[in-house]
Amino acid sequence: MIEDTAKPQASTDVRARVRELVRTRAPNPAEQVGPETHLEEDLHYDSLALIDLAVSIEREFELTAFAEAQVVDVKLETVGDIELLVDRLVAEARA
Amino acid sequence: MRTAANEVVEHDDVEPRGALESFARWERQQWSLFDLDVSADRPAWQALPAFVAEQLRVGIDRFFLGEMAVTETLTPLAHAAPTAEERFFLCAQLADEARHTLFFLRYLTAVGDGASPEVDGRGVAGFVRERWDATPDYFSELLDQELREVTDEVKAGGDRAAWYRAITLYHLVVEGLLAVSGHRALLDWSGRYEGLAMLRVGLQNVARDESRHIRFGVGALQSGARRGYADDIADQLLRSLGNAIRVVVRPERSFPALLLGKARDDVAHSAERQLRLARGALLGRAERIGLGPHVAEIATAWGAAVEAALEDYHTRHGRRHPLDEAVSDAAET
Repeated sequence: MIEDTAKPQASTDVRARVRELVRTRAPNPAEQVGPETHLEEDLHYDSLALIDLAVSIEREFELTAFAEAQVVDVKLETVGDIELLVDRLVAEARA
Repeated sequence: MRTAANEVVEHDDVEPRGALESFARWERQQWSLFDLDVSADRPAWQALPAFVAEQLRVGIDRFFLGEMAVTETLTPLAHAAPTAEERFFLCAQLADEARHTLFFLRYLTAVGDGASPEVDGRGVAGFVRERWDATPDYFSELLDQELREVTDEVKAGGDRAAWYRAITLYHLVVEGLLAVSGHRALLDWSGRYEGLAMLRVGLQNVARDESRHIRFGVGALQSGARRGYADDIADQLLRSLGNAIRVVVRPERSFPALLLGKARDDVAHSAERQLRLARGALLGRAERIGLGPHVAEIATAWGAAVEAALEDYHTRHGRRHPLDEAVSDAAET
């Protein structure tokens, strides 16, 4: 999978951990996933699987206390979307 | 996946039925829990996403406790029934409740750690106590304390109004509102995964029994309203509604803050639909029973109870329940 370097990138550590969670918890796990991998079309994530993934990510990155405004209107269609969101939330939590 | 199980809970809003007719149906609709190999669901259960398995487990756990509480407290209602026919039906219902309790107990032990309370030293009483201790206050207040209080009043030789209040709590609130909503939630979530056939068959059987109980209850309460007990019935209903709505919403359950987009919409609309159907069924039954002047009051109390449950969620978790937006949307349209 060739990554689109023109788009903003999440930090390497966060990206790797998010990607592994997304990959292993997918209803249709793929051997490799990249930023362009589509959650629904490629990995067959449905609503309940997305809830499960959200719980896992929150636990992994201890992201339980952030304002709703921080995630309003966020688009979550690809693995890259999740990587960027988690990277931003982790950074804001540390700030 | 929609199945016969869905059909049973979707069409629960039905005409009341007399006690003997209900008894005849009970005879025709027997089922055996020992015919269900509940352990067949274990592999699929163990492959469920952790969050889903936990939600299903809690839902089944609550069913188990509710059925247990009903089994333990129904007898005085049979003894004090106004007519012999009602007594016969309530005796039959008691057998149903015991069967339901055992079904949920067997299912929990079969798909869980496999330990049976009969053999691991805790005994069923210890197993039950542990589970009551793990439930939120509103659940035990309604299904442990209030249920025992209303039946104790009947047992102590309370007047006829006490019997109608108890039937209101049993048949209209616990069965008509909580059990039906609980079935919908469990069928909705379990239906999205292959391999949980025994759960769905069991739920279908339980739902059919409960539909019979509800019809009987509405018929009995209709007689009660005609005899002048409408105020007592409405009063009990209004008293129980706040905790009952909390049992349906489960404000202690935390949805992830990262629940976004499609998943958030799905959770919200599923919960909104369950509440909407439950509200429609309850108000329809209140009309049929003959609570006419009280129906508007019950509808207002429903709205306030939902708001209170959502506020409870906000207080506990510091963010809005996904349902909050769906309720706001529905109010605007």
